[in-house]
Amino acid sequence: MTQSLHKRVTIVGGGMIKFGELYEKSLEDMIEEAYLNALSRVDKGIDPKDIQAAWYGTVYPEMGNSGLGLSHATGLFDIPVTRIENACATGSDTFRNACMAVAAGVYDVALVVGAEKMHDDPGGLIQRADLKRLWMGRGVTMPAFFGLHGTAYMHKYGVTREQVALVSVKNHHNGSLYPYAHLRFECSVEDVVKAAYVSYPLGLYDCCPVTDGAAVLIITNPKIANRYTDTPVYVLGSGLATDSDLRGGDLTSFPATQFAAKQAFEMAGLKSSEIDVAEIHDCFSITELVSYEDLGFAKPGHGPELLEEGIVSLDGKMPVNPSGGLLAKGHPLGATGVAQLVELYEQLRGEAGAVQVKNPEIALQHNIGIGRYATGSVGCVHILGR
Amino acid sequence: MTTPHQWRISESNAKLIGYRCPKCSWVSFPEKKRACKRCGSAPVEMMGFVMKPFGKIVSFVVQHRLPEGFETPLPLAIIEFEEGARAAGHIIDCKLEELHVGFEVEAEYRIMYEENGLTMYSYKFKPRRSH
Repeated sequence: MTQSLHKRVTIVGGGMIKFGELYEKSLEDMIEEAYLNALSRVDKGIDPKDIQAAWYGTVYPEMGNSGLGLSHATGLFDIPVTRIENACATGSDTFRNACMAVAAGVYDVALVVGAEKMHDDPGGLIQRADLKRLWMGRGVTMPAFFGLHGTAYMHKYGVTREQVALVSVKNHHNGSLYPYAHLRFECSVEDVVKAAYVSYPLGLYDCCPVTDGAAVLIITNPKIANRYTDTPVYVLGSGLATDSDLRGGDLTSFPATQFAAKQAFEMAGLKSSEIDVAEIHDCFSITELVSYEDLGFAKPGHGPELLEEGIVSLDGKMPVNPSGGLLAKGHPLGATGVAQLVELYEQLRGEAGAVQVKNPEIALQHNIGIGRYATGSVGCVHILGR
Repeated sequence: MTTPHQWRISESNAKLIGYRCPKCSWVSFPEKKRACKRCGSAPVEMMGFVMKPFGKIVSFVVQHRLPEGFETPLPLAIIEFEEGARAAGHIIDCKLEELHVGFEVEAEYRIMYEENGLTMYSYKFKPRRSH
């Protein structure tokens, strides 16, 4: 690799809004609120005029949606605003693209916005699931795509629904403590396995809710980070890859995540055992479980042990999804990756309140997108450090 | 799904024509490709052939929550044809308890749905009874 993002970008501010069913707020309202929160939380303050370029990640709005939405929400006109979409990994790829420009030295200060208004669409995601397609992705909704991986994984390794349910139990516990989470309740293994099926083997509590939300990050060239804070967070590694289930494999892993993780760890010069805290994509319970293995935290088939031994609990050796993850916090597509990074920024600075893990130095963020008629996935991984 | 898409793949859809990569033997279905999705070789001359209507379930789900117009529970699987091509398919004429990874299935031409006043036909999969 001739160029690397390693330590070429710093995060100096982050903010988000409380996720939920926000009928009273428009997409523009949500972005404005997250933007103002991010500005107000820059330690030494920031003038909006310092922002030289912005990247805007959103999936849902109608075709032809542009960077203009970000400008309308923030008042940032007359500067470059690029809109990014990469399915559910949109927020992460938006951050990644902004980082590229800062690392290249083109801009010193950039804004990253991820937002999604999911409740203004009465049809919802299910109407976009291409149930009437011929062959490619035929009838495969989002729960079905991940359920297919669940069936294959549970079959190959003899993993039970009760073991998979431990992901939901853990994340709902964390979400009950996280002030920005959409769903703030606890549930038991019994609640999870007895809930109505959405797409067997996944029941209601195995699925993330439908959520509105927005999150914002402010990134800079490390050389000027001290204008804004004395405790910036560094981007150590970044990776992105795609894969298709039609290429082969037994559906017990997400190869896109494996390749993205390999890129990110190589760039960071770190191993999976050196991660202190992680936000892992848990759109469904099974997704987090399989991702432990794709990210190198467990050997294939051994993911459940991390839950059973408490390693990934809030007080464990490597807490995963202290924010409650997508299962509890919610999954507003374009906002998701950015919100994961906002959470880890706070964790690394010791500002995570009730869900603060003990003195983390290295954090990993992982986000999966499904695209192309649900025939495969996009995996994105970032590694951050103090 | 649009009618032009249906038209573009109409022959492969009706006859189960797959296209084999001469470099890695991966089979593209239903699209004819000149760049291989598995090995990335490009350009490649993929030769079309009629696939046997047999395959096995790589994995499956049972859909319980779908929009109006779909009967639930609806079993849905990723099928691997004997020749190696993969596709998503609906499972029919099968008890839910029978479904399992590795289950042998047989493709059968059926009505899929109506669109723009047209009846769309394609294959669904039933337990394999013939050889």
